[in-house]
Amino acid sequence: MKTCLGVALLLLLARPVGATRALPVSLEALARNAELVVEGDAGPGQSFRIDGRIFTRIEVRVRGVWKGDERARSVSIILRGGIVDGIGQRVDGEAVVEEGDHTVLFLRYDDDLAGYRPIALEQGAFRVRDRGDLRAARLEAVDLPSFESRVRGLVRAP
Amino acid sequence: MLRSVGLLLVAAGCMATPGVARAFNCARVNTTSGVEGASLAWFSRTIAFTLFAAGTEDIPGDAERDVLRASFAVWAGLELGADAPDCGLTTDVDLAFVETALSTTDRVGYDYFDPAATENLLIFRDSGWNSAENNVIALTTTTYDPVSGEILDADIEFNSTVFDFTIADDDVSMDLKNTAVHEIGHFLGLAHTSSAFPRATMAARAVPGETEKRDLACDDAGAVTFKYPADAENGYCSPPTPSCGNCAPPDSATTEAIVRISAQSASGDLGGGCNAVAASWSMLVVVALLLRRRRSARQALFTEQAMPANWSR
Repeated sequence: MKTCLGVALLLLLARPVGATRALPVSLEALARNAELVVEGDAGPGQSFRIDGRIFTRIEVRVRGVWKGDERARSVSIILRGGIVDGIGQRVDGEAVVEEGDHTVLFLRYDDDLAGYRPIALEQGAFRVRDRGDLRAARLEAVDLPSFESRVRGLVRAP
Repeated sequence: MLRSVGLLLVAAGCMATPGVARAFNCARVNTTSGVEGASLAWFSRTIAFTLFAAGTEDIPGDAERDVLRASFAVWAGLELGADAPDCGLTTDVDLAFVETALSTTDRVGYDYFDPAATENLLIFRDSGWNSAENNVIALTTTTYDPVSGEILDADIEFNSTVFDFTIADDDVSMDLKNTAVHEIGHFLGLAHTSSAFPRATMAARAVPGETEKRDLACDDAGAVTFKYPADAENGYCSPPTPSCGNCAPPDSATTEAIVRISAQSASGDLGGGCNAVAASWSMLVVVALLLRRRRSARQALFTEQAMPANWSR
């Protein structure tokens, strides 16, 4: 249940670190390497395939731009995996962004796929949750304003 | 034949070793609703793999091929690390990995138009790795049937664009076997272990110079023997719980059929957990019809689908 009881205490939950096999990426590196950092709400996904690979495109309605073009109102992100024509595909470690998610994304544009990709797969995607919803592993919990302040500080850093 | 094996797997329900702490996790079908579905598994114990002919310039000659072959052997032979001499395993595995001829086709994923041509490919990407994923050492892409969780294809890509893979015991950069054994775990349908078991081979983290994950920790061995126990059907548990790796059985329609079978069994045990489920042949037929109907619908989509989307790469 995502319905909040009373005060909505927001927790920022990082995905389990590691990708399919990956080096941990620091928040500093995420902020530095991202072309766009946004806070937003995920819309429905649409899967498609290119040859044998399946991807899912998700429109994210932007609440705020922490780095990049501040005029952005919506961002199209591309994730590996999905289901097309009765065939499913997954890449362990890919970011999981589901419809309705309140999320913070560290993104780079992918010309080939015509959309943004989270940096370092799951490490570049954070889900903002209320305290009553603990579906994801809780590896890091901070309140959203503190996280935003920290990321914006890193973005401004030389 | 595969379909028959699959049906037996579905009917088998779950098997687990009670009382053993588990950290492993099964990879599962991702559904659009955000609820995870069936766990992924091969429905045959003989699994083909294909090495890409070009190999990598990181490693002289063709030495990487033997390392990759040996990495499969780690799982097939339950090769344990020196610090895991006795895991208390109650069963073996009967996986057999069969290498096909070297491939010159660098296709990753599933061949929709000619499924028989699909290869379980292991390939080095010496150039062209996506810059948004520079920290990713290797990727395993698993293609599956969303209803049954049957793995149809699995491909492993090594990021030799960014990382310098090595195979020696000294001057280790990114150890190939350390990476490959982990990726083959994904290939087999395993997800990352919980963070409480950082030394498991299926732990998510890796660092340059690491070699301790060239073989299996007890948790990895427990995982593969749970999923693919020798001389028994694939392991599932319903409901999926952490104690059995959240290895959910095929989708709810099938699960309900299994539950009904269980209700008719002598034990009448419906108490959850990971109990083996008895099946009547009549219900197996029902399950078979369910799966066949779904499979037929999917094949119809194959024949009616449009050409691949026109994306430039």
